[in-house]
Amino acid sequence: MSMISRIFGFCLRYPLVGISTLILLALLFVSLFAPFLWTVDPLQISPATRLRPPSLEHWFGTDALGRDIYSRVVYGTRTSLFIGFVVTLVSYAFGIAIGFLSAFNRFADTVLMRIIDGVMSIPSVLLAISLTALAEPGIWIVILAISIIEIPRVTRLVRGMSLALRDALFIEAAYASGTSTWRTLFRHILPNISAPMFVQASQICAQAMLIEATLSFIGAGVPPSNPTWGNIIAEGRSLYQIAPYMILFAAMALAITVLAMNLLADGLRDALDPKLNRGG
Amino acid sequence: MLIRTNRRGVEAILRYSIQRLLAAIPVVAIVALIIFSLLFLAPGDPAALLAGDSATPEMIEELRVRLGLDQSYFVQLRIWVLSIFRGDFGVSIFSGTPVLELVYDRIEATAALSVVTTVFAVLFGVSLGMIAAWRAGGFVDRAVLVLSAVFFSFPSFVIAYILILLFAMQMQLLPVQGYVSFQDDFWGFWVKIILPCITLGLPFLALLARITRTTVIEVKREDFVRTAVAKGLPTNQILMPHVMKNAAIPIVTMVGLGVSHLISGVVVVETVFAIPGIGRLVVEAILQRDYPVIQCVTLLSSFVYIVVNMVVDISYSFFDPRIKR
Repeated sequence: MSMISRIFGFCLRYPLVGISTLILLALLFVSLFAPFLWTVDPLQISPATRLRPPSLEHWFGTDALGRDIYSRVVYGTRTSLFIGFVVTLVSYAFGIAIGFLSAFNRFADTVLMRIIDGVMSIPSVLLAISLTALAEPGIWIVILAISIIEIPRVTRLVRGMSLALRDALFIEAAYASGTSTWRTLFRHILPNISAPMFVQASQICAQAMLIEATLSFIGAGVPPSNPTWGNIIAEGRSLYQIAPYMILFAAMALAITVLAMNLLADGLRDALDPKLNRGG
Repeated sequence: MLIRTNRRGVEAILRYSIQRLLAAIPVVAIVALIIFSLLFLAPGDPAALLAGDSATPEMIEELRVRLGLDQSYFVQLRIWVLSIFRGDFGVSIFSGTPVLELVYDRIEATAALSVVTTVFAVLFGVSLGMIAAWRAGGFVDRAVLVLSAVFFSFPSFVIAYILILLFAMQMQLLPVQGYVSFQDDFWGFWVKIILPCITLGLPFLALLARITRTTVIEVKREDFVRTAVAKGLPTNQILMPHVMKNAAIPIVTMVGLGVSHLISGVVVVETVFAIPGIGRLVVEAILQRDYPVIQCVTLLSSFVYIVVNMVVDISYSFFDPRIKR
């Protein structure tokens, strides 16, 4: 059976995974081909056409500076997806490293787990605000701040599952036959804990996009000139009573993306490990 | 619920509580260390900001020495910790007022909002979860699953604007924004707090409904529930003592963890509904780059979170006597 028909069959068996993957692929397409999707420059100010409601000319209307909201929402897809994916990658790179370290080194475990307890006791949005306040506003400080929030969650998952596997027979067998520690970690343990990690990764990606939008909304995120969904909604904040469409479309885009990501997590949980899903 | 305890039981609970209290101390210390480090790394010269525009370089230097800002990291840490113990949380760069006073002025609105929201979310979340679990696969069950996925994916400001559009602008039933203290205007307080509470409470409610559903379904499969059903006990007598007492621990844990979501949500909801609380204070501080205010609120809310979760830990011993040991 070819690869494509196998993937197709998998998506048919788990419709939640199929539908959410389709939505996410569509979003990826939108973000990659934003300039060709009948958009104009999202930063183009045009005072003559300010606050126009949705029309054939401006599909989602125009904002207080006359910028085309459709183009801004389409370009906003780029920032949201980019931040979601980069945060997921960064938090997994560090989370796996720290998780392995504390699962296999008792001293490191004591120190690292206390630090992680501490980080997790600080409410996430407030920690993100404190971190972004440290540098000039920009996309990288936002990514750093959200990653620091998410790393402890990955670490706990990796550590817990590695501890459960540490004394398993096949790991002992790997050690006994002279497999190096690195090889044991990455060839024997990692593949066996990857299913829950994929589930959590899509949750973290969703969470990262939500926090990014929240930060932009309260003015602690990506600089206002960037068209991100959070920024678009923040700009519409003071005008939503006369121009609700300024908020509506960006909010819909954000909600659909996060929902698709969370549904993917739910679907993957069912698909990858049926035992995990007893009644929940 | 009747809790029968003898003297040994009370002693066990006390010992367990002290254990939890001691376990929380290192976490508090780490949190304080992280937040101090953030304050230490914050850009700008606090002495120059505090001294004002008209200060000469000598005056700034003198202030710097007086505040200990010329000292090393560890000396400054010591000064900071000692001043926290004296109740001195620093001074706002923007207004020059002690941060604790600013927090004190704003605490009422936030506390009222959080308490009403928690009661709303726990009442509805747990009942919905129980109904969903009791009739698993039924209409309520499916509705709870779908709605919890939706509410958990919608950012709170999106929920807020949908509610405002529907109930405040279309139907004109409730005010768009604002806040009055319940001491000043009892009915006005309730009318104005409905929408913020629903906004803040829906994701929390979704979380609680979901965890209640999962745990109750698990407990329902236990033999003692089957026995209770078999001997013909009425549903309410099965649910309350048999099921709920055994399902309580994961649910109470989730209430504790949810406080973190609540604190983060307060920042957004107070901004949307123009409520003069701690959340607004933080958002104003971001715009003015007022680091002491941001750090102080972060520190205090982390303490609240740790204390709530300590209380949750201690409450386990009421639900499960085995934990006291």
